[in-house]
Amino acid sequence: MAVAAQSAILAAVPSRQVYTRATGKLITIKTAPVDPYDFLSGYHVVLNYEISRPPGFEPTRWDRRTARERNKPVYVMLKAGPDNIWSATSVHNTLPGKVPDGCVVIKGREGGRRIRYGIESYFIPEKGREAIEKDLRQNQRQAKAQIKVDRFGNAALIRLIVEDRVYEY
Amino acid sequence: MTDKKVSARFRKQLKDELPTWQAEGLISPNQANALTQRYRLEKIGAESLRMLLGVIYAIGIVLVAIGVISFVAFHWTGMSKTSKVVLIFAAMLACHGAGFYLWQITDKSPKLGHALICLGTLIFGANIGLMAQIFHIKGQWNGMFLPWAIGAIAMAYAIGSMPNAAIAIVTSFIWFVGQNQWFYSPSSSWWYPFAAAAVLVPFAYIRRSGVVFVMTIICLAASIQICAGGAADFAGWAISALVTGALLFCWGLVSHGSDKFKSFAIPAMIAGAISTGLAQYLCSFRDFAEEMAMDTGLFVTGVTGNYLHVSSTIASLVVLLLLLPFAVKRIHTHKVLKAITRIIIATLMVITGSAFVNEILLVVVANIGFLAMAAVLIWAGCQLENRRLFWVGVLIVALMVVSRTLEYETGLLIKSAAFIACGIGLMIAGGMFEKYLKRRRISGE
Repeated sequence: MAVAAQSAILAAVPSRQVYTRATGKLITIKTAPVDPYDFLSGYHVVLNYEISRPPGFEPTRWDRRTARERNKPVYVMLKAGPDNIWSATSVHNTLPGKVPDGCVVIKGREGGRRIRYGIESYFIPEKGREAIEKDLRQNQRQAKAQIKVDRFGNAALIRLIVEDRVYEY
Repeated sequence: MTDKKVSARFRKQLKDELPTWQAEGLISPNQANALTQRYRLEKIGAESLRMLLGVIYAIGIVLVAIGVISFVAFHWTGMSKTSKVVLIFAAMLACHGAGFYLWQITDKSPKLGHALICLGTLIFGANIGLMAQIFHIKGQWNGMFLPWAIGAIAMAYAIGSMPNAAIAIVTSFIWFVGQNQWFYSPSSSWWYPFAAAAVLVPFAYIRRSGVVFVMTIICLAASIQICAGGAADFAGWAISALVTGALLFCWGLVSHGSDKFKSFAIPAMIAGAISTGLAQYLCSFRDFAEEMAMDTGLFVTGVTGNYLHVSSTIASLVVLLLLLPFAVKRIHTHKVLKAITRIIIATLMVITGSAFVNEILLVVVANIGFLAMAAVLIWAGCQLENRRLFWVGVLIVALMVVSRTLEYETGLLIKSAAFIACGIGLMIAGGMFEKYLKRRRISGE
């Protein structure tokens, strides 16, 4: 029973990601990277996105009483541009009941002065880390991320693309 | 003949001395044999070997666990996600499977089996990090520790494993500390002390594990105080420390009367005395007392408004009031314990009350209370002929003198005189105590 409990907990860790990868819609968004090193989680790139600060988004002022309110979910409507890059059009407090054709809704949480969607980290291997990091830094404006978004607004980061170079791990 | 517990060191020394005593004719072979049987001296070798094996297995599993955790930092390339998931599950299940087989099924090698199960739990924790890495999940740094703790306590209950319980206590507390790293912002983890008490205390009692009990009460006391501190800063922490201190002390008194759980008594009483003493000591400082007096309003707001974060302190107070009659019953014939209990309860009431009145009153009361505690401990040491209690009391007095000397603006000459007086006082006190003990021993003979 205890082994089953541990296995169930372990299976639950990526369950949402697995569902989103299996059922979500694939879209491309623009990124801007920063790179720390986290010992317990290996190497990862920390990413910002253009959609992290959508139009109409006002960060809540921080104080002790609103610490919980700041972490409440927000829903951002995305629409594809002529270059097939998706950008934010509006921000909502609840999941919109009807999503217009050609749009998707992504769920995030307010984190400081921007919205976090749970796709801000991408683990990259130790081998080749420096080359990837250099590529991302030098080509920030050309860097894109392909993500999948499911019907609940949850997102999963699939791959990074810099010009014609694809990084998928 | 009573089965009196003696230390392993005594048994080893006795085993070494017996041949010499026999050779010198001090004891007969029959007497030597009787002593060997009485203290199980022939089993010392086997017991030492078992202990050594236990240590080796423990070091081994820790090293393997560190290796697995280091492996988390190295990212696999070339393997598919499915292969990685299968591999990490297989590693964990293999350890648990082998452990169960060796321990619970065949009983061929119980210690190794138990060590493998513990390794399996450590690998489970590392696997949580690996899963997050494989699927690019990143959360707060402490996020993995709560599921780790849940898995560990499930295993602990399933097989009655103390090491798994210890892993659960440490990992759950790390998670809790991570939730409260921003001291000024009360977190959503106010429920942790309740959950920890509900899950860990029964385990300690069911297994009669002193180690798990000590770890549990430290975890509970710290988490209750952190919650209260998050809600009401210094006042919250200090009042919570006094309440939990009194509760732990009474808990120890009640345990003292139980045959099965007597081993829980001393650790609980010591933890209670330390918690109370620490709060009292800090309140004796003027700056701290000022902060505490300023924050009492926050504590009232916490109790009447957002009571969630002080709820564990309030619950501790309720449990204290419920335990008090049993504790009082336990000590009504024991004048030393009665005196110490009275001091601790009085400290809780007087210091809390003074904090709401005025910071100067609080400083005076805290200093007097701390010295009163020292006086009771010195007296208790003399009554019970216990050097530890006596010296703790004397050191408290010395600590007070040194603290006040350093806290207030005094000249170097006064500081020097204070330190010299403390040193000489310590030496005189020690000498007088030893003479007192000698007189009592002689009069007792």
